[in-house]
Amino acid sequence: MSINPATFQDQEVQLSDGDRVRFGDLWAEQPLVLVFLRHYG
Amino acid sequence: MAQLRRKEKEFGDLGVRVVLVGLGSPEATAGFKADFDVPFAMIADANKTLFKAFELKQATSKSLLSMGMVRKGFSAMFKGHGMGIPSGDVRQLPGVFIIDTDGQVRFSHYARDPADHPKAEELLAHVEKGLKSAVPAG
Repeated sequence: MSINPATFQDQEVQLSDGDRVRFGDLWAEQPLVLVFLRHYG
Repeated sequence: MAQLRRKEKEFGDLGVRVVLVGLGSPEATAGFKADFDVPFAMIADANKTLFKAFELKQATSKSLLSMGMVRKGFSAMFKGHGMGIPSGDVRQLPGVFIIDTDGQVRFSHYARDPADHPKAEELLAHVEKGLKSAVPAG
C-alpha cells in the first residue's frame, strides 16, 4: 500500500483545542510520527 | 499510548513530532487527552478524513471476537492498562506512519487486529534509521 501524504497536504485538520492547521505543516519542519487510535476509552 | 508517553523525551531528542489522530469531536478528543495525560498534539478526525486518506481498514466481527483478541485484552488488563467505555468506532483498525519532511512515508504499520501496535522502541529505531539515511555518511 503506497500512501502519498503530499497529495493531501493542503487538507485542513482540526486539533483537540479547536485550532485548524494545514496537514502538511505538521511535517514541514520535522519528521512526523502519526498515530491513529481506534477509539477513545 | 502509555508506551509512547513514556518515550516522549526520546522522540523529542530525535527532533520528531508525535501527533495522535482520534475519531471524535475536538471536545471528546480534548477530554481523552486530559484523562490519559497525553503529552502530544491530537487531531480530532470525527469524519475519518485522515483515516480514509491513509486507507486504514475496519476489523471484522470475527477478528474482534477471536480468542487472540480476548487474550490480548486480558494481557493488557494484567499490565495495568485500564479499560473504559469506548467511544468512536470499535471496528476501526489503528495504524502508525512516519512521514519525513518531504512528505514521504518512511514507515507504515497497518494493524492486523485492534490490539496490533508497533512498540515505541520500534518506532524510535525507524526514526533513527530514517534520519541517518537522510544524512550523507562521512
